[in-house]
Amino acid sequence: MTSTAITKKRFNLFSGFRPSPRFVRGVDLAGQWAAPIMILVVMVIAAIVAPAFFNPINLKTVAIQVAVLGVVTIGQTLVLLNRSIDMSVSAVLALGAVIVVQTEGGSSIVSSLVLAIAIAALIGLANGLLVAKRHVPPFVATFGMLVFVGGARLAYTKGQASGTVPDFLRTISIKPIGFIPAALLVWLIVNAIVIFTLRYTRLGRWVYAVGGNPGAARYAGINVDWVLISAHIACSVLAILGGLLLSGYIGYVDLRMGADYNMNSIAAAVVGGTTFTGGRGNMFGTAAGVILLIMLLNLVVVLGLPIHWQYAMQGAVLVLATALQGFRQFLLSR
Amino acid sequence: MTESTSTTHSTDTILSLKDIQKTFGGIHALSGVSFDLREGEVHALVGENGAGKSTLIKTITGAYVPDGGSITVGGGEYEMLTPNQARQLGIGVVYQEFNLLPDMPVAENIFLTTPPMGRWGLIDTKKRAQQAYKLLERLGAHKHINPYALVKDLTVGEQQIVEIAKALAMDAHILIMDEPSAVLPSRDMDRLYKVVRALRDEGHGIIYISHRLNEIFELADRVTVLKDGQTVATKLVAKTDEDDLVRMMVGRELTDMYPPVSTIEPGEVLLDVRDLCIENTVFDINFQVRAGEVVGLAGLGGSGRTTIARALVGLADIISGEIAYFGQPARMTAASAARAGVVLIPEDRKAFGLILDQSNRFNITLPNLPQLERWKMILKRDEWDPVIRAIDDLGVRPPNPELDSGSLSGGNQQKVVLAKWIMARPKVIIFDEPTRGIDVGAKSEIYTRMREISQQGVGIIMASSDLPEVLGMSDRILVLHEGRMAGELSREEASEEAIMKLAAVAHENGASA
Repeated sequence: MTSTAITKKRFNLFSGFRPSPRFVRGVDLAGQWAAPIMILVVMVIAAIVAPAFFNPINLKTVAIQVAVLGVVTIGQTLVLLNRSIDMSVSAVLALGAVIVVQTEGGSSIVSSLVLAIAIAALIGLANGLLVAKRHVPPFVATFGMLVFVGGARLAYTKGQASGTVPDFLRTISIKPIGFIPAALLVWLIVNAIVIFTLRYTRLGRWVYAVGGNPGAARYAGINVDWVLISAHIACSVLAILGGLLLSGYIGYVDLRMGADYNMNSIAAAVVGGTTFTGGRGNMFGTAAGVILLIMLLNLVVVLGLPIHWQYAMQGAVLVLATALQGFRQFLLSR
Repeated sequence: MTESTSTTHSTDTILSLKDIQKTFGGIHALSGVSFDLREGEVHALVGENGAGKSTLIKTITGAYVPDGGSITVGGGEYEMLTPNQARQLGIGVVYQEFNLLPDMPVAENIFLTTPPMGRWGLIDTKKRAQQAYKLLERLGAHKHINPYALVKDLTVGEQQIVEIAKALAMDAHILIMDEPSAVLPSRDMDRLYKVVRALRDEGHGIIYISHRLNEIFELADRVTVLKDGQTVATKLVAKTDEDDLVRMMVGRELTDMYPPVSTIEPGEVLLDVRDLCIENTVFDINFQVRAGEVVGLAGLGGSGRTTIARALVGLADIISGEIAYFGQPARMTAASAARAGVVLIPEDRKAFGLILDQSNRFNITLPNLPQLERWKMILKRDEWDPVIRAIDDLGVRPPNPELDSGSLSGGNQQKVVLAKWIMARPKVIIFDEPTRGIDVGAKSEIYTRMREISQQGVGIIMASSDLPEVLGMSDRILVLHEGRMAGELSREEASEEAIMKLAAVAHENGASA
């Protein structure tokens, strides 16, 4: 009331701010439901400004793109859950298509698929060993792998694309099953397997434990390095599966194919609620993040905007999603 | 509202806290603490672990926002401070864990945030070194510490002085020292005392937190006792004595806290450690642990207690010697030790004990998944009953299996850690500082449970720096000194004096050698 000379009560922005538990919980929920809610919002906006989005042919394109990015992002999410990151998925993805196309000529499709998956597993193993056993920061290890695999692919193909995509890949990618493309079914099956594993098996618990607190996981008798390496192997194998679906869909092998998949898989996972700090996130969120991101990217095309807006979109989505997570951390630290 | 004017404060009071409140998720960390600090005094702050000392400090430095009360400092009254405000008002802290950059020189560390500027807005490195020298001179350390030396090349005691100089460089008038003597070897104590007295004589107000009552009588002018988040009393040191302080801190007889001694004879040898050496830290350790006994592992900081505890579960590099588990010599990893039934309950719960972001159910079942599996699947309904039983059994509060473990108090977190390992039915449990930072009630419950488990034939090793706890719980006590076994005491022989003699006398021999 009466101001006394010595009373100074200053409040800086946020400095005296103490969130109620309900508010923290609200932000938590907002983080988890941001992607599904945004999907609905974007759908409504699309229906108003770009009805062409709902054209069956466009929807099929969206479905296949969702499937390809979805498969890759499942792998990325597994790695992120383990407090790691994989910057090499785009190189692995492009490599898969090249291997199958190049080796298919002489031998059977099965042996070239096995070869592709084996090489992917080796790359994942190398990533995992570098991160787990040599303690190389995951970003650096996998970024190095990105450059190495990309370079090795160019050396192998001498910079020229050749060969045609085998029919088998066309089949698993674009052949309609009922009214959905086969690729979407592949994505759903992979999702089902991974969701089951994360929820109902030891390995799933271990993934969350290692990502949540590697120290505590080690004390609890979990082979932390093994879990981390397994996640990296799974991520690379899923990336190559994504590459096979993608080449089946576009029908040829482009040397620049898949370059966006590092950024997009990370953005989709983070939008879906997976954190960079590990141990938080799930595959439903990831699926929603993938669908949201692909819808946004597709809308840029449907609306006839310059394609560069896609990049702006990718960046904005990643930054906004990370900011929301940062806000949550800030609240928890008060 | 009130007629508060500056005259209500005596002129030499430089910091005054009134009725400070702070709760964490329903737990009262501070419920009405009042405290004042005068110019040119050393004011000791004492209290048991969990009495609220560190919460109070963090309130003063602006790390925590209090729920109520007021802070009067620098002629203003505040409901809360921000870390920046606290610094500007001349509040400096020397934490137990130093905040120094080891690869940078002393002078650069001292003036990290406020480097002296020269022409063109560049840091004047020469002036910086000169000013650092002057600060060190004020602290009487200019002969030992070169401003250009790298911090990592200094001893712990010297690093502490750099920490103090750093606080002074930011014009700290109020200096908070959080258990400064806990990290020091005894030969560096005198120098620390000298520094503190020099600062007091310059007119600084010093809040000195300590567990060692004897140094309070050596150093402090006044002492404030905290208990359960409240101020018990503030007294002139000259008008109190050790017994008085202990009575105020504890508020009851200590013996009530510990369960009755073991009623069973130790059984078979579970662990047999022979000539164990661990690089640079532990040398030639021999001991055995039998079923049903509690073996205390005592020693000063840095004596190798934790290293030995970690080595037993394969988390430290063994150079030579062997450990026989149940008669079989083996080298374990954390995973294989857990499978074999040898588990470590670590000192740092947040880093190694729990996954704070996950539920109590997740944490408790984590090492026990194989026994809960049905067709290789883990179903929530199969987890539920054992988890509820474990939570009830240990008295975890609140008893909610789905609550994040991170939201529990320290004592309840420790109970969750204990619950998960009891469910694993281990044969040997190694506790490292089992009750650090835990409130008195939870402590007593953990001791009771520890005794119960040992009566069921589990071998227990308890590494601890808390002597009353070592004395209250152990059937026999191994005393370490600088990585070597200094002696073994039976329950009958053991006393604080006997332990400290073994832990410290060897020390003097070592120093003269």
